[in-house]
Amino acid sequence: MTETADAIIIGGGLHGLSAALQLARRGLNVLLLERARIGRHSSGASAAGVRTLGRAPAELPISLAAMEMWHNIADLVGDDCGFQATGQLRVAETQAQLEQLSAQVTQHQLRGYTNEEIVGAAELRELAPTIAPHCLGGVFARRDGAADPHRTLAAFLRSARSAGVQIREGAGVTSLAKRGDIWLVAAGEDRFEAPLLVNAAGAWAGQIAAMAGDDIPIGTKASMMIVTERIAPMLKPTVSAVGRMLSFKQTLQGTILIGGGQQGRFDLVRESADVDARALAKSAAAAVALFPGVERLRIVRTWSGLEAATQDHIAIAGLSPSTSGLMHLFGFTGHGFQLVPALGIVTADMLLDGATCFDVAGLRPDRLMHGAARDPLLAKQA
Amino acid sequence: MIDVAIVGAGPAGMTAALELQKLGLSTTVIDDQPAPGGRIFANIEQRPAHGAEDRSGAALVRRFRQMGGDYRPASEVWQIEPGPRLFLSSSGQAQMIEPRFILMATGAQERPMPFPGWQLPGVMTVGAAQILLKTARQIPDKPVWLAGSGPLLLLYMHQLIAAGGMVEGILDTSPSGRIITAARALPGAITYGWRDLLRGLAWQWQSRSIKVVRGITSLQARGGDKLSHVTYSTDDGQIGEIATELLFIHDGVVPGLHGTIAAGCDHRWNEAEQCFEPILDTFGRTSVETIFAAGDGATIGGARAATLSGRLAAIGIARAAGTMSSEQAETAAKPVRRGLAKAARFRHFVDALYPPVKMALPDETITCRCEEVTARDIRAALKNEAHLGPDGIKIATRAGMGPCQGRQCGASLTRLVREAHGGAPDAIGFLRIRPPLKPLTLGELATLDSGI
Repeated sequence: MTETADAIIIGGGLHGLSAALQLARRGLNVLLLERARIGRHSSGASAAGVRTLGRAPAELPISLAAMEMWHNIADLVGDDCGFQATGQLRVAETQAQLEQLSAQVTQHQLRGYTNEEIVGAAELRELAPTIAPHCLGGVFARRDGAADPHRTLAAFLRSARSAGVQIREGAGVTSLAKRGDIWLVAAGEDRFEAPLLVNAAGAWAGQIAAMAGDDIPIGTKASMMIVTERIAPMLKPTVSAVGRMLSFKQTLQGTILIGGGQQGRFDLVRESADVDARALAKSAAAAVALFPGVERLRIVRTWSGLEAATQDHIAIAGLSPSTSGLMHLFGFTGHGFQLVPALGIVTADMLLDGATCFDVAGLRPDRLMHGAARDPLLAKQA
Repeated sequence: MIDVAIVGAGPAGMTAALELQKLGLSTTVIDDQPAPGGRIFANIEQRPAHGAEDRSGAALVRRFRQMGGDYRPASEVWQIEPGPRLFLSSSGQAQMIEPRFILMATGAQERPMPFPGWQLPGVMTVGAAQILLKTARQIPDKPVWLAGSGPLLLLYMHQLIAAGGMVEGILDTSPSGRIITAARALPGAITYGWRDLLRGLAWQWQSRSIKVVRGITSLQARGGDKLSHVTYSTDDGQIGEIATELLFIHDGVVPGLHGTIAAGCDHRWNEAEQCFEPILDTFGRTSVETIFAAGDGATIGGARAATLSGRLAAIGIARAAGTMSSEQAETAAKPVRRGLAKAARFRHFVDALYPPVKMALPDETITCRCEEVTARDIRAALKNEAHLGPDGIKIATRAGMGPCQGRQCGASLTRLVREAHGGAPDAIGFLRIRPPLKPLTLGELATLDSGI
């Protein structure tokens, strides 16, 4: 039997759920296909950083738009998702780094952006009282923050369901074809049809794109995380450092969550990501260098999650340049969580109106595709 | 390069090390305890040996000490990666070793016995109490009630009384009728275990002067900030209450699986023992080519079976390493396997005599003690999400996210999934285990970083 819908979303991560939610709220009958279970990979393994700080120019406009949505996230999904606007702080450990940061922020402000500001040594210690004495200052984005990934997943799932999205877990897409304007989607023995299709398949989105005839080369990320035992409140903002792969924050539960992009081992065929202890040791070393007081904290758990990485480290969110009715939404390269609420709207806009008022020109998939720049559809998408 | 890293210096690990040395393979034995012996022969070099089993344990420890191989006491193995690579830490320093083979001889853990109030101070496991008795000669200064079943419970009672402690009574959870089932298994057990049987009878005899409430079907520990009362019900409909400040609980032992699960070995459900076990070939090799398992960490059999399975794994490793031909290995393995078969028949008898407790898991039971998640929370999550498995429950409720890595709640999660949706335990599986397997600080992990 074939199920029909107005739109099919491939991938039950946060981006797939957000796209499904927005399409359903615009009156479409939406079906979401997830191979494993909702949030199985990157979304469930996320550090849930809500960051505009240091965003690449291509992602900055949509990131700033998303930030406004995060400050009212309950209006969107009926729950605050554990979002706390505790700020994101990037620390300089040397004079040269501080000068480099200051120059960047000055340039950033001259372009009219107000989300980042320079902080000196005194304010740094107010923001992060236990930071190592050698740290000199940094850049602070005070409206940034962090959320709770599992609460966020639960809220988007609940909202999508109550907007009418049909969710099929255990439905891994095995082939795609097009008949006229209709996408024919096979997941094993099951068949689905819809005129609109969203490729939000994370680490496997390159394979889905290839099934649809788009060659978008992507890599894989398996970023690792560490969570420690609970301790008394010591830090509010999420802290990163120039020249180190580190993201360091204290959660609402009191645990310390350490990430920063050190890579684990992965196997796309077995759909698994595992910790690489030697690489993880670098995260621990960076954390201890910046916050010497955490040295004796016990690690409770470490993990790694799979997602797609693009060559230019910028996300892909745009219509297929070669086939109508297909939106690519993947390649978040370790920093897609914050973009979730905004890109859902972008997806609905692009699939239903062919354009969006958000500036996502820099996320177009064709920038990574061979020969796609000559495609006449591109002008429309921009 | 070391040929074999052996994790655990109990009967299985020590025997395997001695055997491997004879077979010309180099070993590193890593153990979390300060001295060799494992749980059963803990502190055996410092305390008097009681009975034949203790004496043979003491002799094994002496031979192990004399063999002179690389032995690392007080070291925790916290991660195993393909390669194989084994990560350990001791004295605040982490390090990696890359042996050709790993033998997991990590022993048993007590089967978690959840009931409302089991987290209260004053309630502890018999195994923990026995370790305190063996290593620190700690004897409770108040009368003790014991609850549960199994040989260890009786053994501890015997040891505690011998050491001058007071046992007030036993809340016996063994179902009625078990004696008949057990009697059928007795003929198979006698030749291997007549000594153990006599010992067990002596313990039973000793317990005749102690209050025993049989057929316990539910327990509830009560009290404010510590235990003051225990209420119970029995299979013939009695409800009772006792006043006690100490309740030691025990429901048998199960393999400590975290190492083999984390190493990616396949496991299967053992219905008789009500636990998962690593799947082994006839030489103790797991589904991961470079990893072997022996002793109670592979399947519960007790100390004597552990020495046999340690020897078998050593032969298997020598065969895999090419220092023994297949024919030689088969010949050497034959008598060992015969011994293991006898041990299994004895085990079958013990299983029949002390089947795992089948107590209800009431809603108010704090199932995950680390994150304080009740059975009610987990049942609610299972109701909302039709096909959550143990890992899905973890994400939905935080059960299993705490520092014990699901050692206390993992089995309950599998059980609750089965209760809600049916299905075989093999299909449901066990919680996924995330490193570190053992406590590790950020500072220790950081010492592994070479700065490259």
